[in-house]
Formats: sequence, structure tokens, C-alpha cells
Amino acid sequence: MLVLEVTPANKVVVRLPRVEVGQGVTTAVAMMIAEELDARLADVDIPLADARSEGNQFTGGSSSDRRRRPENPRVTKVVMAADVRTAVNPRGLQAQLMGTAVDGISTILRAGLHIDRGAVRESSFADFLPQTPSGGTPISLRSPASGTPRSTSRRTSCPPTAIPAAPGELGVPAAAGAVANAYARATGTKPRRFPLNF
Amino acid sequence: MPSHSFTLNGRRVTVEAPADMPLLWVLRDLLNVTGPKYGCGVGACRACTSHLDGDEIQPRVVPVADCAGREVTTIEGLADGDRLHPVQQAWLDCDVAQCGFCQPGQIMAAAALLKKTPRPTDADIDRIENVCRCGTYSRIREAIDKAAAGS
Repeated sequence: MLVLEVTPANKVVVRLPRVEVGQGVTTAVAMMIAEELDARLADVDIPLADARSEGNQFTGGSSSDRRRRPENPRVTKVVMAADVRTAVNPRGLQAQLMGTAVDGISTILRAGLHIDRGAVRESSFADFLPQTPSGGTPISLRSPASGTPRSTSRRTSCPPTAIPAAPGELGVPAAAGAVANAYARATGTKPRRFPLNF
Repeated sequence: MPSHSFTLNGRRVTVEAPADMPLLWVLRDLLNVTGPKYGCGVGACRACTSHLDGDEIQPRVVPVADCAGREVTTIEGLADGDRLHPVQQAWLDCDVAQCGFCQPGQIMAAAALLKKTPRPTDADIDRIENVCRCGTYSRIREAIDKAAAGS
């Protein structure tokens, strides 16, 4: 369990057993605690403790690639499932997962960097090409509890005592792998270098 | 230093700046209007997207001298007083924003699209090229459809 400590100096300290890799988990947890305790955000300190492997983060991703032209592949549909136990902000969770799907698609299809004699060739978004709306792929989300779309918006699908986890970039590797697998199935060739359009 | 007068969000402003200073610097650094964001510096990511005489522009690549006597609208001037623009309301209803950095530009691009094309098709929406590194595209499309349906 999490231990919430109020120090003699009136600071709130919570040692969070999670990994911070840029997803903002310390800020999010600090904001929730400050709001619940009516404390000032500046008085809440979230040092990171050793991450606990409770198996409470998992994302499955799958996608299909039906474009006939393998030189210009396009993802036509993504279905993602995620079990993050307690969804503190279900709409935000959905949004983050959709974002990770887009990032996974970008990484596999076209967003890469060339290195010329030690320097990165791409200079900006004119030549570094992540997905834009024109790559708009329908994305549907499922929770393993009920299997119905968008069920992540229901808090009751998760045990109320479960410790919230940060989804962050959770979906990126699953989505990227799913896109690569879809490409392999659609074309009969297993890609070994990414991005595919480079 | 030449001086340039234009209308910004309904208010007449005059600034002293080199003629070739990008409008984005004028907005952000001289006028403290920071809704248009600085992203790529070449008008490709479109985080700075605003309107000039109602048309979509990227202020990073528009010199301030080109705006003389014209109407510049940034995200700060999109709402009608306290009444949000339908695109802004749809954005809130759909919870589009994640980190939020590109969103003023996304909203201004969507508003410009709907002004010209009130009932956009998927292909029309595809023409918006604003980059969102959070990948909010699904909800951007949802919000544009919602704003179009409500107007």
C-alpha cells in the first residue's frame, strides 16, 4: 500500500512505487493528493520508491493493414485493450491510449531520424514525419472486464482498492508491434528495419 | 524602427519592429499574446496557426509588415465575449486536449476549415496538417464533426 506521511514541517510525502519516464506521474499524483487533502501543491512531495511489479499494467494492441500497396502502408483500424486496474480519469486514460496507438503507428510507418556523419539530418516537422490527421485511424478501446467498447469510462470495471498506475507510454510498444505484425501478415514479408517509409 | 498597425482580436495595436520580424514574435514577445505557440520554426507543425482576415495563417512565416491594416485573430480572440466558438465548445465536450501545446493551433485550423466548409468530409478534415505529438487526432475529428453538426 501507499504510505502518506505528513512531516513536522507540514509537508506531505508519498513514496511512489512507479517509474517516471516522462509521463508526469509524480505531478498527477501530487495534484490528486493536494486536492484530496486541501493542501498546497508545493507542499506535496512525491519521491519515487522502487517500482513494484504487481502486474497491474498491460496493454494489448492489434491492427490491420489492408492497403494493397506495401510501399505506402496505412493502418485502417486499431483495437486496444488495457487493464490499468483503477482508472482515475477514464477519459484521460482513453485519450492516452489513443495517443500511444498513434505514436506506435508513427514509429513503425514513417517517423524516424537519419544520422549523417554523427548528426541528425531531420531538422523539424518539415522532414520528421509523425502521424497527422490525414493518417486518421479509427481506434476503439476495450477493457478486459466487460469487453465492450469504451468501458474504460466505467470506474466500476476495476477493483476499487487497486492502486492507480500511470498508463503513460504503456501502449506504444504494443501498438508498434501490432502494426509491424499487421504489415508482415498483409505483405507476407517480415520487416526488420523501421520506419517502413524512410 | 518602422511601426506597424493592425487589428488584433478586435483591438487596434501598433508595434515597432523590423518589417521582416515574424508575426509570431510580435504576438508573443511584443504583445504578450501567447496562445499561438512556437513549435518548428518553419510553419510545418502549425502550432502557431491563427487567422489573417479570417484565413488560416502560420504567424511564424508571416512578416509583421504583411499584416499592416489587416485583422489578426489568435485563439484569444476566437470566442465571442463569454460565448465560446462552437469549435472551442466541441473541444471541451470531447476532452480533446492532452498536453495542450498544439491545441490552440488545432482549434484555429478547425475553425478556419468550418468557416469555408461548414459540412466537412473526412477528406476535408484530412487537409488539416497540424501535428499533435500526443496523438489526439481521433478526438480532433470527433470534435470537428460535432462542431459541424451543431452549427
